[in-house]
Amino acid sequence: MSDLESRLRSDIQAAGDAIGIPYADVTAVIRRGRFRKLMTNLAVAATIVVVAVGAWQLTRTRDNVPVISSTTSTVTTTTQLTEVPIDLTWKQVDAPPIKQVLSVWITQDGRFAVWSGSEIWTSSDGEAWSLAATTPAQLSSDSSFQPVADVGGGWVGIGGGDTPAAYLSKDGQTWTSVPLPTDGLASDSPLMTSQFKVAFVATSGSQVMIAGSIHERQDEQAFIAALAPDLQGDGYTMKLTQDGAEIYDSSGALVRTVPLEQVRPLLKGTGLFTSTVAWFSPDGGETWTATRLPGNTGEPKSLHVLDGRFVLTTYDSTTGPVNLWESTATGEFQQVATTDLFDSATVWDDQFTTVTGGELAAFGPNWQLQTIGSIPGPSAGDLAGIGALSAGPAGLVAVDYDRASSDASVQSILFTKDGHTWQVTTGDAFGDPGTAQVAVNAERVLMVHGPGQQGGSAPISPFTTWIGTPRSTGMPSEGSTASTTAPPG
Amino acid sequence: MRGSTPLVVPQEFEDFYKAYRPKLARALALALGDRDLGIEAADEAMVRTYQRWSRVRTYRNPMGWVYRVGVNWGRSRLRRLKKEVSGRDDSDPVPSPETGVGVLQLVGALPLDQRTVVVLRYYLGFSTEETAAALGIEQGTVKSRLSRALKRLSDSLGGER
Repeated sequence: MSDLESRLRSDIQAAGDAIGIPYADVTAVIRRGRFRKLMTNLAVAATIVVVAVGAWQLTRTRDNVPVISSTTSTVTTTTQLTEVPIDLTWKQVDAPPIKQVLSVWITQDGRFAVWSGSEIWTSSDGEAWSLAATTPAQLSSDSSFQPVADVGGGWVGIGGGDTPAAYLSKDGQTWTSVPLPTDGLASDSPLMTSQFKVAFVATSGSQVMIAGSIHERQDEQAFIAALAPDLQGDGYTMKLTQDGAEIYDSSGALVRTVPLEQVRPLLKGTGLFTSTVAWFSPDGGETWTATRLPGNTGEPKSLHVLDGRFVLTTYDSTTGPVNLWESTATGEFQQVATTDLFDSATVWDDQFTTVTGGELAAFGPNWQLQTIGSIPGPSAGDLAGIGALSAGPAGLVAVDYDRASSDASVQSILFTKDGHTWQVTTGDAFGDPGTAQVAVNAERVLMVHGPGQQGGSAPISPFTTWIGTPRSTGMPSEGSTASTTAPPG
Repeated sequence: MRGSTPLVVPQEFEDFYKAYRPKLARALALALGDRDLGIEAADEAMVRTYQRWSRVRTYRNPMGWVYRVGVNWGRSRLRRLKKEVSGRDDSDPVPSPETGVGVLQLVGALPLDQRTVVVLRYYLGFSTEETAAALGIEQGTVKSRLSRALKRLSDSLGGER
């Protein structure tokens, strides 16, 4: 990325996020929209906003942001691996008796687990399911994250907003909440407000890692109070212009203009920051330590367990590349790599494996990115359509979405045992268009398929459950490529 | 007595609205060059999203769709108002001790088509493919608009790369 692009990205991100957007209740907006009349007297003052928000962010101090030295990853080709042919047989199986699926994963003892938002069902083979836990309503329900996991034969969930918390259960029925520490994580500026969000929980033995974020922004009311202490009460709004700050009362009348030279000192040290926060517990969730990753790292993108350590990725749209972090024995994260090549990730065969720009790759020694092989099918060369990636001893499965359509629908399910030989099952084999979540254990692939929102927060509902059983069909062959199969019936 | 029709808002849409309205309004404010117009366009787009939620909820990138609706509505509004928003101000830009020239001012001076791409790529963080899908244009068009925008910005900044 050029310096100009970096600067543009930084400036426009900060400027945009500094634009004050008044809260409007959803029902009020809809009702207003229903009866909206054309209003033609809107004066467009383009530069005022652009200049004002530019001034806002350009004058803020950035010197307090630590600089992270990172290892830039490169893509190299590994030695050709032995190709393993596949005969993956899909069959639809009875689903657990729930109405929706928010996440699927593999428990520490190798079982499939499905979470509906209120219940966790587990199965060793994907066909016989048993109710393992009933979860509290406070857990985060964003299906693009992973808010539940198993630990020590029990369960841990995460939820909460401004007061994030972990929820623990040993028997799946009785839950206790443990507040996650937040002291010292937020800015001490009185002009800033902060909000926490928890996103991922992962476990390794009795260790629990939670990845979330802190989002800080200017408190407009505090800012107005600092600019004009004599104005009592709420209801004032502020607009920055090239001349300073204009303060309006609740009727929209301009009550004061504070000169720019008085505004600038208050702007320093403020802005909009999003940083990843990691909470670590060595004892199954009983005690916690919190760490705010250095710099404005953005939000966590994934959290995995690799050989007993936690691997975290973070992404900030301001800076672009994905940062990779690896935990130490004490649960602190150290940045190990930065890469522009990152669409989705999983852990496969003790390697942190990613889909990057049409290639399947893995981070090898010293966190150098190494290509394993190319992905077959229409998506080859541009893998932005891979919406889910999961791997286990049985192989690796990727869900490829139809990117030609703005609708979310599975174009194909891609499966490999070695990264070279792929089996492609077209999405229409699984019924109506929909999204999918996948998980792989030692012997099988579990796929939950149905209408949902790919990459979004909505659950899959209603859904069907499919089991893929791979079998080797003989000796490795030369030049083996992809085949297409459909499930029976 | 005059009553109003009960308004049923799906929880899922309400969550989407709460999560994305502020970001959408800011993006549209940047693209359209005006905060109030951005908010108005965002609300209009959200209303249309609400009306089509059963379908929009299944889109891979609802935010991209909503942004496109908002841009199109804002563009139409600007045409009606017969105001070509250039973002250019006759007055001097606010001096910055850090960067000297206001890049945002230069962005504001770009044609709307280029600005919408710049905002999607650099503010919302969309990929080229996502930007193309959101605006309903080819990826090559996204790249060419972005290239022209960067060239224009670079020229304005004295050839910085």
